[in-house]
Amino acid sequence: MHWRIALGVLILALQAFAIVRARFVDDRYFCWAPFDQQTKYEIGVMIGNEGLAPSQVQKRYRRPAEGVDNRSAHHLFDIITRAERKFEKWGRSRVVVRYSVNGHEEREWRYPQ
Amino acid sequence: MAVPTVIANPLNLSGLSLPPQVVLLCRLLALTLLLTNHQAQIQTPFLPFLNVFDILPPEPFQFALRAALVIGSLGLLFTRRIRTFAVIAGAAILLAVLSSRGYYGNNKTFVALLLILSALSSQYGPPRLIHWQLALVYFGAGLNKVLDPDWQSGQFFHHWATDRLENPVYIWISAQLPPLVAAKLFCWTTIGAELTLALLTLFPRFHPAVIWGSGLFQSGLLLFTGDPFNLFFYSMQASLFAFARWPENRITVIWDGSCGFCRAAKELLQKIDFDPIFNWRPLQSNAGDQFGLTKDQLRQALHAAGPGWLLNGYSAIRRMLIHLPLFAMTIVAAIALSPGPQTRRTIVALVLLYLLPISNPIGNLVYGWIARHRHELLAGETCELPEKS
Repeated sequence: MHWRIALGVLILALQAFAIVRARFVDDRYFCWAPFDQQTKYEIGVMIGNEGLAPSQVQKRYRRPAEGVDNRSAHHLFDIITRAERKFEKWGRSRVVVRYSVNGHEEREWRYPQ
Repeated sequence: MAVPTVIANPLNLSGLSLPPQVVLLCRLLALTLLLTNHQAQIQTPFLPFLNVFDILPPEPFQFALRAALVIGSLGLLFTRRIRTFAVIAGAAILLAVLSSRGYYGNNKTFVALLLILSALSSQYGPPRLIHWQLALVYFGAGLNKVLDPDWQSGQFFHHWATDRLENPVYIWISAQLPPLVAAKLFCWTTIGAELTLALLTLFPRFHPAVIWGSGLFQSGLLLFTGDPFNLFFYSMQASLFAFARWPENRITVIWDGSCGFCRAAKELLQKIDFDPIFNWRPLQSNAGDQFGLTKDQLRQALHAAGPGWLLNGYSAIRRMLIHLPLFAMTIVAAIALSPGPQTRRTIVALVLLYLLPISNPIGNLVYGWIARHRHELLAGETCELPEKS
């Protein structure tokens, strides 16, 4: 097999692995699940006794403080968790995400859980 | 001064290191990336998928990726080094995806992989890597949906079309039926279409069905939402060129050499046919003999013959235009530069109308009128061509 074809097959095999992996985890990265969920959300962040403004939330997570995400809600939780682990050396924060998936009842997700 | 051989006309697809349809695929993606100013979306590393991106200087890294994307796209359009610049542009997007969860998106990943797999494709034979890529995309999408309770029940579609899009067509249809029946129908049609397309991509004899099925499916999505979903619509449609059976030899076009209007039309098409892909033969040259066509038949309408097909009149013109890269590039540019969803919908609807047999009655009517009056349209321009092949 030519090396170019072998490399192409490897790239495709990695994606096949990601599709299988998605069956066992909450996130949906690299498994071709575009637009499979509508997550309406609102993020609230408290550092000490002070709440962050929407623009600060946007800067912190590179996501609007409230909006609709066209992907798994777990991508949002994943981003917040990773960002908070990164920022915790500058002070612990408390995050509350109120969210609703595909029009179902509103739920809450908190960090730290 | 001689033009360096590395420079290429973006409308010239042949004689390059990849099959013509793969070159067109890459150039359509490059055009989309440039016209949508996609480089501006590339971020500095943020919660990367690979930790190595955290140790790179953020701003220089972002600048390098943006520059690579622009250079790669321009190189794809204006040089003969298709493989090299497909790797540069594809790698720039893939690195941007891997380095930032904020930038991550299925549409961007798909474009990156299409470009990279194009570069890895063979110069000869069908681009199977791209076929398998589309199969994986449809399989992954269909599988994820079929296992999701909100897709099984229709809840996803009902919420999306009613609360998010406020689509009046869906709301009306839904109101005529019991609760969630319309939504369930849309959800299961989508799942069925995606899983069927995933399967069909693997069998070459079904590739025409893939082109029509996927093309209509993605166009339907744009008509419904008015949204190209960033790069998704463009890349899904461009990928279908990998399934096209591109003519190995030139398409024979038999035209009326005694007609000034026909000559003017031929010269216009020749000006934008840079490969060239058309072999123009006047009907007076007995070119119809090899296809069993009489002069009388040839006088009725223009005829075009490619691998396994022979068409005349409006259908022939339509097929010829599809093989000109300018046709697809113009459509991509028009959609990418559209001021809003309504204009996008209109363009896609008109293109579909043109490509589907539904336009045949009116197309044949217009063509027939022009064919009957062709000797009057450019008076003084007619002459009989000598009988030569």
